[in-house]
Amino acid sequence: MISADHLERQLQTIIDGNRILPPQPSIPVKITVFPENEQQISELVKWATKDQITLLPLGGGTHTFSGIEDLHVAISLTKMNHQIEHVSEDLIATVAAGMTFKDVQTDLSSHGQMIPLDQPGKHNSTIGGMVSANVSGPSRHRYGTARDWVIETRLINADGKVVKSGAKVVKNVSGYDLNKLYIGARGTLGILTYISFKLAPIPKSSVTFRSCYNSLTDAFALTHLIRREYLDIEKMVIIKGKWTPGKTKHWWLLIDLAGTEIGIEPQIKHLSKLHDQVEARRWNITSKEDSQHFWNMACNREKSDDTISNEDIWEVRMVLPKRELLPFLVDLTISDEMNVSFKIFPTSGICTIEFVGKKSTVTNILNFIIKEVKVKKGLVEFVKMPPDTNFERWPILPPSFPWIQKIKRALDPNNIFAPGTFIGGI
Amino acid sequence: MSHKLLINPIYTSFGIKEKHLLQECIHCGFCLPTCPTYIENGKEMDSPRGRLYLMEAAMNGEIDISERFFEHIDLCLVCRACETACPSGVQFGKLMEITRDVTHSVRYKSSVSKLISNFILSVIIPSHGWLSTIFKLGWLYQKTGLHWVTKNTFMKNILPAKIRNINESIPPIPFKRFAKNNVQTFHAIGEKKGRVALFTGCVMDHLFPDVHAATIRILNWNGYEVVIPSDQTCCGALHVHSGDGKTSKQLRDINLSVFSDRSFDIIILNAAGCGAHLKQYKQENNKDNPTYPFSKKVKDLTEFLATVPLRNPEFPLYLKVVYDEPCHLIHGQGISVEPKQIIKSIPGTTFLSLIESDACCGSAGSYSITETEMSLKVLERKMNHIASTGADCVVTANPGCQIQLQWGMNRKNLSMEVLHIAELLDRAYQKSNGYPLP
Amino acid sequence: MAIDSIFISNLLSLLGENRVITHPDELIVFECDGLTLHKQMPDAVVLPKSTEEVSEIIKLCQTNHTPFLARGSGTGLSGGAIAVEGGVIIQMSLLNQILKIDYEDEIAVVQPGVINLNLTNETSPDGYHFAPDPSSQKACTIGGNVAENAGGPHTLKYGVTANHVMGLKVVMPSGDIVELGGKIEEFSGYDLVGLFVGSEGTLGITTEITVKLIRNPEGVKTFLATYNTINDASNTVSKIIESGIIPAAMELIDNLVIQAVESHLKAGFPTKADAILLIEIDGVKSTLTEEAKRIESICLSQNAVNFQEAETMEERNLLWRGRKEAIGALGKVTPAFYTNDGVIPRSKLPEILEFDLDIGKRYGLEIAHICHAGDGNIHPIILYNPDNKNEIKHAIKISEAILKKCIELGGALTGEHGIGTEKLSSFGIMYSDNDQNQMLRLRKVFNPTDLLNPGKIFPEGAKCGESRINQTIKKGGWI
Repeated sequence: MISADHLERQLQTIIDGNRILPPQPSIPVKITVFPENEQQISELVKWATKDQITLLPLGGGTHTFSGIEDLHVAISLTKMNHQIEHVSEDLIATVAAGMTFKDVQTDLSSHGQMIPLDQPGKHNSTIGGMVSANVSGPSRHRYGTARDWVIETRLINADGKVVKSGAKVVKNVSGYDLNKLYIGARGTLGILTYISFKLAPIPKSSVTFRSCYNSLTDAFALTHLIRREYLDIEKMVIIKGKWTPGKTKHWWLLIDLAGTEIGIEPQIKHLSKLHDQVEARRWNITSKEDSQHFWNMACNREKSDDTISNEDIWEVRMVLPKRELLPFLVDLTISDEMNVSFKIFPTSGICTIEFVGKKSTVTNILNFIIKEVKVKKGLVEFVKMPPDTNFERWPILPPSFPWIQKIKRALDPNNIFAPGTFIGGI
Repeated sequence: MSHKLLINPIYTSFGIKEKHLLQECIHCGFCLPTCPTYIENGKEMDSPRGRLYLMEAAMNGEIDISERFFEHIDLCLVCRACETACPSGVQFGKLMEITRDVTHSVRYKSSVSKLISNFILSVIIPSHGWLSTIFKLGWLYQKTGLHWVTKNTFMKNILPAKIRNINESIPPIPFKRFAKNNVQTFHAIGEKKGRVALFTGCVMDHLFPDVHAATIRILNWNGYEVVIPSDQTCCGALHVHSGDGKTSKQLRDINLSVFSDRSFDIIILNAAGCGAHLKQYKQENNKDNPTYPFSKKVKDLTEFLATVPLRNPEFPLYLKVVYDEPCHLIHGQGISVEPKQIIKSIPGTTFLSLIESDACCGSAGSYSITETEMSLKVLERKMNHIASTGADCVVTANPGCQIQLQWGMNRKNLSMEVLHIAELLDRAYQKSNGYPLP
Repeated sequence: MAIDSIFISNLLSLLGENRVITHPDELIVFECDGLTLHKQMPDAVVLPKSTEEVSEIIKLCQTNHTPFLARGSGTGLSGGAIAVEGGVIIQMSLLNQILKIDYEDEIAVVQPGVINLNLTNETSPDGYHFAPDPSSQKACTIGGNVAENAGGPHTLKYGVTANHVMGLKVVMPSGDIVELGGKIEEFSGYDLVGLFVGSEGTLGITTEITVKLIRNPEGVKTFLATYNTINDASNTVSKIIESGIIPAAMELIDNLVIQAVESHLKAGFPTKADAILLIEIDGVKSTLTEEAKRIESICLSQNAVNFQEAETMEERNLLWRGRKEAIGALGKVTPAFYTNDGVIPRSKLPEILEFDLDIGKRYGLEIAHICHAGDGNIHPIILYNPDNKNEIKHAIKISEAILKKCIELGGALTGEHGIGTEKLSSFGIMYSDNDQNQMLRLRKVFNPTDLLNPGKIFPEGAKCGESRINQTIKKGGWI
């Protein structure tokens, strides 16, 4: 066992003492360091390789690590938060991985541009963390995910070398596209230091449609209708429970329409007409500002209810073929003993469900979900679960898993980058 | 059989001009998916780009002029769909004709097949006498029931596959060809607008006299006097496709002299294959050559009708029609809109779209006889597309296609009618008061 | 000779005589693809009809230590489909079925030999299309698109092939058949699909592809903006992007190309213009009118002398035909040309174009331009006389210099054609040894024997192959 003291002494040879801190409570490491540049990270990695030290790259700490065994050193990128290079006529920006998403967006928005991703959880989410976890939210409907927007990365690999992939251009097929591999790799292949994005223009005008339904099927009805229509929809989500500010009993559908100042009017009329065709309890059109609270809730940015003990929260995220999502959700039998919240991206086949309940109550339904999603060749991730549960965080392994293991071994031969934290324990 | 560098006929016969024609190919591959043989077997050698590459390699002496080479040259249907697709305007058909021509002598130096093929091409086909005799025998063969016996009894199993296929594909043979040994004139109905000649050809004349009759009625009805000059002969396209350039040129000269001194403005064709070939007469010579005005006068029936004020059919013809485009009309002559317009102009007729309507049916002159296996594959694909439309009738504009499509119908037990576009329009006109009766 | 008669007889017993090609007089047609610069004949070509056959072929090759690679329609422009070290070409043209079209999930499952445009033609009556539209889309296969991560004019708005592939069935170089990704919008574990797309067929051979189908837009508007100087035209590009409009496509065509197109195709390009921009916007109709006005005013503010909209579908199609077949038309006016595929940040467009013209003048060769300007993907086309050895050398030199300049400007070597054999020598300008090693480690994971498609992308792996390539430029395909 390597002690925290030992680690600290070693680290002091690489990095300034006041950049070495004890770990935050929820992070399973002995010590945290806050490097400020690539050089320091490179040194840290070389040292880790030599001494068999395990590293956990950290962003804003939004991510949860339930069920992970202790690692040695957390490398927080939050001090690499200084640099942004934005060429607005190219619609491209390069950002240090430790910058918070909020800061970057503020900067870009003054030029009418943005990285079209949704910030998860808290305000301190970093760019590097979001790309590593490949987070997505309601904007996914129109903009896709980080893999559609990241054009260049710099990463410190297992040799402690800076490796570049891609270029600051929007179209590029020179060599392998390693960016795709790093996105969503949760820091298991190296430490991302700089990321370049192609950007999207912020729509000139947008409005939110908010509608409320008695049943999930009713809420889906409009999303089905929309698919055969021509509307410029920027964001879409169906929510219930803790992700809604209103009555938790009902299903809410939020849709953002985007367009030009004049062009948006006919779209509003069109979507209003469609609304008349479905069984909504009520619906209204609001300005983006008026709905900000709704969107914040939907994106999980509000504080969760602290009165509930962590031991009872199970947050499960699943991805299914689009057509399977509604029938699957309708088939779920949810007993009254459970407090359940839903967040659904109907056009992407993605759903997050939070169950609040004792293990004995939820085990059946969780097993059912795993079994069904597996049959449908989908994906399940336990985003949150109480400690000491016997659920795998990623209970379904893809057929390509042996190759995923091989990649991990090839790019991280000493298994120093966040070992045991990703799918199948890699 | 292999002929190496020294006697490489392509090398010596391909001139600088031909070399440049070959070099116009930029190897982009646009032609590949339009080539029926490539679609079937997926081999680069059986694509237009591959064939051009082989020609160039042969020309440069990089490969042998062997049976292996001919296999790919022969398998080409010369449908020229690749020419329509080519962004740099490579004259593929022309290059293929040259290749077949210059390799002809090497290939068939002394073989029985050469003798037979020569006899058919240079003696039988150019002679209406020979053709009449043979088709008379064919008529008898069908009338006596012998054809039925060989098609439907144990006899069919005795025949070799190739002969069986030919035997089965023979359409009903008429007793007499259309044209006569003297000049015929058919007078315009109503006000006379002009005087045109009809090129009667060989296959159309002997096998589809009704199409000629329909063509003449249509032209007369629209105010044109039609003349059929006697002594005209086969256009020579079959010969060129088979590499017999010599006979082809002889036939050309006969036709040029037959059509040289007449007082008609236009030479009308209803066989796309002949039309494409007759229009090429001019390319072999320069503009002051006597062939020039001749080929300029050559017009496909549909092409001609599109340029004149056409009388609309007055009575509806309730038919669901698909149009299968003859290669030598769309790719050979660039005519595609005109026939469709004619069909659409008939009241009551529903024009259905046909997938790959611009692809070859596999007939391609003598191809269905020489390359039966590939021809059948190409036909099969065509018939599947046709069957899926649910049409009542397939319209085309070339005798070879008519035979092939009709055979396809028989093979698939489909009851759709196969019509020449002239027959369709003629049928639409027939109820009109004053229209000549068949 | 890398193969022997036992190996061939094994192939024959697996596939039959009709689907194995071994005679040099036939193999010669496989010696190059859309790039005729590099030539190398394979030792055999095989035409499998199933995933299992591909796997068996690969196993035979591995046992016999024979190199092998897959080939689609051979329209690529970087020599990606040539057998650099000989061996077996696995020709995918008979794996050409569209297996499934599913509008509910908005996906299609196709075999790799399906022609790109055929999928769009098949789905367009139902209002859908396959978004990647390389100029070769009439001929190129979707398998080839996956290998090269193909682009096209409309990638500006819709993204490249990688953005449209959800799943792959791959035969690994070991012969194992593995499914990557699937019908869901996310990947479980590492994004192997993203890694495979664009790996130029060096990691595995795809035999089934699940792609997204994209709904056709409600409205499309196509504009032709005419300029007296190419500089004004290229300045317009970043002005439009900066204004917050992402057109569906934005193509720059210079006078040389305009002349060629008009002499052959007659697409309606103004022959006197120094440059034109072909701009297309699509989307919800109500928004288009306003965007059109803004684009027009930006073009005019950048000295466009004329701005017109294609009024009919026919006009629009003709303009696009002019664009997509431009390179073919160029074949009519020059005996030979060589096409470059560099990429730069779009604001650097004026700078790189000036550089091109300059260097062309220095070597005394003309350079024509057809750029995917909105993407910053330039296609300088160097015209030369193939009978003049000096000109050939100069053409290659010019192209290398342009690539070097692209990298200096923060760009990349290739936007859509791939590295292949063509740009091996420039690869090191863009990627350091460390960068390359990271990639090579991955290659080793999948392709440890290096028998799958050796001699591509990495100069490292090409040393032994390079000498076998016969370097004679004929013409440079199309873009």
